[in-house]
Amino acid sequence: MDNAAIREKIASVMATILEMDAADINDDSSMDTIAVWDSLKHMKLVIALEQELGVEFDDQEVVELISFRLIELAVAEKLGG
Amino acid sequence: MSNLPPHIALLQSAIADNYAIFQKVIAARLGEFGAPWVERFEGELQTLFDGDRDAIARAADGYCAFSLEAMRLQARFDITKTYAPDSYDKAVEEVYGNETYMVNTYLPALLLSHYLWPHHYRQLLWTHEHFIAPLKALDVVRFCDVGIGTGFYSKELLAGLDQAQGWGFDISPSSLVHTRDVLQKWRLDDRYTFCPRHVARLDDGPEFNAFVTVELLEHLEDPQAFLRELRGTVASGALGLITAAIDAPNRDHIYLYRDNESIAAQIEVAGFEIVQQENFAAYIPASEQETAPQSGCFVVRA
Repeated sequence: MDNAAIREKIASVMATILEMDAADINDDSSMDTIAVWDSLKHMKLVIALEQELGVEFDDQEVVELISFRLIELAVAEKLGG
Repeated sequence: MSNLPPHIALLQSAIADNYAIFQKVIAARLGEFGAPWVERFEGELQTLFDGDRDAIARAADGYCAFSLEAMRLQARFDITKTYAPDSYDKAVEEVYGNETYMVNTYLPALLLSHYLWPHHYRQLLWTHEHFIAPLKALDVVRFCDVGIGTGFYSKELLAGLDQAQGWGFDISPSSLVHTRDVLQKWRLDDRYTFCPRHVARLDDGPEFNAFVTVELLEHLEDPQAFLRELRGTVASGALGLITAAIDAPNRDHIYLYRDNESIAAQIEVAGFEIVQQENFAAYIPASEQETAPQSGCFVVRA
């Protein structure tokens, strides 16, 4: 999966979990900028990302995935991108 | 969030520094419960931590680590609808007898959860209205708290009832030490007796006219047997608070309750009359497949 595909997949998962339009998700999207992104949504997002992308995050990683950009970097690293 | 009192502000800062995913929890509870919540929580933190920034940070870390694990387990539970621990002995080994985990994670997490988890805070308010308030009419209150945990509910009773004397039972040395520390800081320890005993051995001491067992049943392999023994221990007519966790897959939860009804049935079979009951959920599940941790709360009469 190339980086563009990874970005698209992450944005799609985030849009579903956070109940927003995928087109509104960009590099600035984070827990600070998306009001509904709380800890409960965060865990749902992590689990959905793990299922959809076939990756696993440990607890330290889970608490660091607080923006679209950080998620993208973490997923790309796990997928060898 | 700029007008938080000092101890809540320190907690907010500690959470945001190390566990940003939980940085909205204080604002959420503030929005739900308002100024009375702030006043009560700040008083709790001030008494327990007295400005000790490092201790607040350790408690925050414990709370966040515990909550993170709980959310992971909840996601697994949504699929399996079973609890993972298979025996009481295993829970003792992994949790109650594990001093590092108890002191660093479990006890601070549970203490803060009384304010940061909405169902726990609602349970606290409900307890004051339906259990502690009626006990104020009694001249003497001798209560036992079985499974004291953090000592939080023993403290609430002693603080709310000037005439109360308490006896606290727990098998965990860490819980007993923690509760002693809590009660000393609140200057309530002179009316309390510590009993380092198995929960089912209440065969001596005074006749209790009140009793508390808060979120203990789900930790037992046979809660029905415990309730029967508890009924045999307390005085006829004694008023009790019994709560149990529902759909809450913590690492030391063994007995799975799915609703209030299954708890109520055990309570009544043991010989208690249910006076009041309520159910508080942590949140509303987004779908039928999802579950939410709940507290089943009962005021009972022996």
